[in-house]
Amino acid sequence: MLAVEALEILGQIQVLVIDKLQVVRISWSLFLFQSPYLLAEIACFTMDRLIHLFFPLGQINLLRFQVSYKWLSRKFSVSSNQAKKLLREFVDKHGNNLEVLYSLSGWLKNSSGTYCIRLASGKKLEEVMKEFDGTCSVEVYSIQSCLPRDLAVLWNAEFVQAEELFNQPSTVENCLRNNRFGGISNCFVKRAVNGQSAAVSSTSQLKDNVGIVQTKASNVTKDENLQPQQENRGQFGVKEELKSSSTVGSIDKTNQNVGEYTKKTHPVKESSNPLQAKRKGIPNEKTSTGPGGSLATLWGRASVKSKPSSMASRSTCDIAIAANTADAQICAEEAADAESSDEEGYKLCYKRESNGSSTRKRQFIINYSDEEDDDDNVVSLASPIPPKEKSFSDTMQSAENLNVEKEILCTNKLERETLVNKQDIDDKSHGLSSEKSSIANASFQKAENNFQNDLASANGKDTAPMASKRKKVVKTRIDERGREVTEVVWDEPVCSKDADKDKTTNDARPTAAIKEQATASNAPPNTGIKGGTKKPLKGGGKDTKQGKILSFFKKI
Amino acid sequence: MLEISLCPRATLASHRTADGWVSSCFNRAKPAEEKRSLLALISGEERRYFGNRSTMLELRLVQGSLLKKVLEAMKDLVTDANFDCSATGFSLQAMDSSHVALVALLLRSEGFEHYRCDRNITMGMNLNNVSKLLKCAGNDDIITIKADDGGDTVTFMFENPKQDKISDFEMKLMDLDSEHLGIPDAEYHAIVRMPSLEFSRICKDLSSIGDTVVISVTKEGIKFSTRGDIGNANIVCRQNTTVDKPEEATVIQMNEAVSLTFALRYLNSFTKATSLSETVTISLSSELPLVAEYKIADMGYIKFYLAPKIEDDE
Repeated sequence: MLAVEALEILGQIQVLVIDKLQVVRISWSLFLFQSPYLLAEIACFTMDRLIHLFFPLGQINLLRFQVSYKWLSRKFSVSSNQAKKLLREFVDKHGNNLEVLYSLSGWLKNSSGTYCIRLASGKKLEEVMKEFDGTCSVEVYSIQSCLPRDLAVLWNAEFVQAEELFNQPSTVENCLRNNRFGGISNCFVKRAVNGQSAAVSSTSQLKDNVGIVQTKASNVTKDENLQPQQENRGQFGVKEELKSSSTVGSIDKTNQNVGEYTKKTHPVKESSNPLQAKRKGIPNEKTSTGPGGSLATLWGRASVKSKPSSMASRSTCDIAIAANTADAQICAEEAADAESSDEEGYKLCYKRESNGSSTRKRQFIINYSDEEDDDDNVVSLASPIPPKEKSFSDTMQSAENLNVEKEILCTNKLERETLVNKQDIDDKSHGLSSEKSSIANASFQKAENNFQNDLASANGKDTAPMASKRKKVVKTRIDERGREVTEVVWDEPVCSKDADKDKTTNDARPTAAIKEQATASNAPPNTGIKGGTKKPLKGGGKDTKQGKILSFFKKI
Repeated sequence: MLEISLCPRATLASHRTADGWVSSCFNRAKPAEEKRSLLALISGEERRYFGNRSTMLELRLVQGSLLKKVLEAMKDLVTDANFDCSATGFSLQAMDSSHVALVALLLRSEGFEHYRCDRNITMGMNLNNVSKLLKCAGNDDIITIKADDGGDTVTFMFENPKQDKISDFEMKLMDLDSEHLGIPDAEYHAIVRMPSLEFSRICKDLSSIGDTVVISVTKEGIKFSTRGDIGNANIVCRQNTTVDKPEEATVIQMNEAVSLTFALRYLNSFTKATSLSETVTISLSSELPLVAEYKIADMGYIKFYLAPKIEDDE
C-alpha cells in the first residue's frame, strides 16, 4: 500500500531530490519495515523506488545526506552487489548534485602482489584508476551531499546501523545476525534465504506461518519465557540457530531445518495445529514471539524442560496428541510412525538428540521412579495443568482415536510375539497385564492403562530415549532404594540372558519388543519400549561406565 | 655419567672406570655399610673422589617455578607417586587412586642446568608434601634436588636469584609399589591442538552443567557437549589456524571422526597444568584413553591419560 502511495508522490519527491539534495538528509526511520509489500518489492528494486525509499513522506530532514552501499544493503536487505548497482543507477540518473565515492579494486601497478581496494571521489576517479594495473572494478561506494572532512563520517552511519541491528531484541532476525549477506558462510549461522527482514511486523502472512510452525500447547508467554533460557543454554552455533529460528524472517528456513532434522515430526506437529488453533484461537500477533512456535519445533523436547506447562502438554500428549489432534487423515498409526521416526531424527542431529533424550529421561524419572499410582501426582507435579484437563475438548474424537490406537498397539504386540520366539513369556505377560505394570513394560501396559484412564503417563515412555540408532534392550532391576529401575542395555547375548534370567514376563517383553524393533526397523508404532533410564541422574549422554586405565595399558 | 665438574682432576678414563665400578657395586644393591667399605678400598685420588660423592643424584633446575607448576598440576590427581630418575631425565608415571587417569611426566636431563644421576633411582614421594615444600620456594628460585645413595630422604634446595638465601628441605621418601604401565605408541584418530586456556575454560564451564563431557572431533572442529539437570551445553571449537600467534591456533588432525565420553572431574584436574604450556594437545582414539599433553618448554611434557566412559553393557 505504502508503495502505491509512494508512487503517487513520486513527482513531488523527484523535485525534492533535485532541489534539496545537498541539504537533505533522510531520516531512515522504520518506514520500510512497516510494509511487507514494499519489502517484497525491494527484491526487484528499481530506481524510482530507491527514490521513494530515500524520501518517504514526511521523513525528510534538512541535514546532510550520506548513503553507502553497505548501509543500503543492510537497511533494505538487499545484497551488497545489488545495493551497489542501485547506487550506480542513482548516480547515473541523479548524480549531478551528488558527491560520489567509488570503490576501486584490483591490482596496483607498484605493488602487484596484493589485491587492493581504494576509495576515490568522483573527481579523482580517473586519477586513481590509472594507478591500477590493467583493469579494475569500479563500484559506487557511497553517495553523499558532500565529502566529509573526517572520513570516519563515511562509515559512521553504518556503524550506528550495525549497533542498532545488534541491539535489536535477540528474537528479531536481521541481516547481521544471520549473516545473510556475509561473504563468509558459517554452517552454524542460518541464513534467511528469502531475505525477509526481521523488522517485518505482524502480518497476515506471519500469522499463517505461526500457525504452521507453532507446536502443540506452547503459547506465546511460554515461548517468551523460554527464549532467554534457551539462549543462555545455546552455545556457539546453537545460539545462532536459535535466533534464526526465533525470528519471523526465517520461518521458512526454520521449517526447513525442522525438516532436515526430524523429517517426520513435522506431520505430527502440523497435525496438532488445528487443535491449537481451536484452543487458542489465533496465534499471537507479536512478531518476536510468534515464531517461538518454530523454536518449539526445533527444540521441542528441550522446551519441555524449560517450561513446565509445555511439559505438561508434552507429557499428556504424545500419544494423545497424535491421536486426538490429528487430522482425520492421520490415523493413529501414522502418528506413531512419526513418533518413531522422530527418534530416528535424533541420529541426524546431535544437539537434537541430546536435548530430546535428556528431556525424556527427565520425564522418566518422574514417571517411573515410583509406583504406578504416583503417576497422576507426578504428572501433575510436572505440569501445572493436570493431564485430564489438558486432554482435549473433543473427547469423543479422542476416545475414538485412542481406541484405534489401542488396537494397533495390540496388534503390534501380537506381531512382536510372533516375530520373536518368546510366546510363552508373552503369554504370561498377557496374563499379568492387569497387574501393576513394571517399569520395563510400562510403556506398553501404560499405553493400555492410559487409554482407559490417564492419557498422560503413557507418553513419557513413548518419547523415551530408546536409542533407535543402537540396539539396546530395556532391563529392569531393583535398585538400592528398592525402586524398580529400567536400564537400557546393549542388545546382544546380554538381552537373552536377561530374558532367561528374569522370571517375570515384564522383563521379557520389552526384550522381545526390542528385538522386533531391531529386525523390523520401521515397524513399531508406539512401541513404548523405551523404558525409563536413570541416566539423567548422571548427567551423561549414555548409560556409561567409567573405564579404567588398566584396561587399556598393561602393567610392565 | 658422572659430572666432570665434580672431579676436575679425574681423567675421563678413570672416570669411567670408577663410575662403572661403583655402579656395579651399587647395582648389586649392597647395604650402605658394604658400599662404604667397598669405597674404602679405593685409594688415593679416587677415594677422595668417591668420598665426595655421597650424593648420587643432583638435579639443578634454574627455572624452579616449573617444578612448582608441575607439582601443582599433578597433586590433585595423584597423591603418592614414584619419581624415576635416570640418565635421560626425571620422570614420573602414576595413576590416580581410582585408576581412571594416569599422569606421565618427563623432564629431560637437557632441561636441567645440572643433571647428575649415577644410576636409576626411584623415589617415592607424597606429592602433596612435595608441593608443600615447593611452596617454600620463590618463583624465581633455583631448585636443586639431591638424593644420597641408599638414603631414605631427598633434599630440596632453593636458592634465591640473588644467591643470598639458601633453603634446604629434607623430605622422607616413601616406599611405594611402582605400577608401571606400558603405554604403547599408538596412532590416534584425532589430534587436536588448542590453547590450553581455552580447554581449561571449557572444562570448567561444562563442569558447572554436567559431570561428563562428550568430546567429538570432526573435520569441522572439536565439540564438547554435556548435559545436566539444568540443561545441555555444546561448545564447538573450530579449526582455526589464522591467528596472530601460533599458540592461539586450534589445529585438528583427524583420520577418523571420534566421539568419546569422559568425566569432567578428571579433565578439570588435568587443566591444572595449563600454566605449564600455552597449548594442549588432545589425542583421541575410540579404542584408547584420551591424552592431554602439555609440553613443558625445552624440557619435556606432562601427559594425562583418561579412560573414556564406556557404554555400560551391564
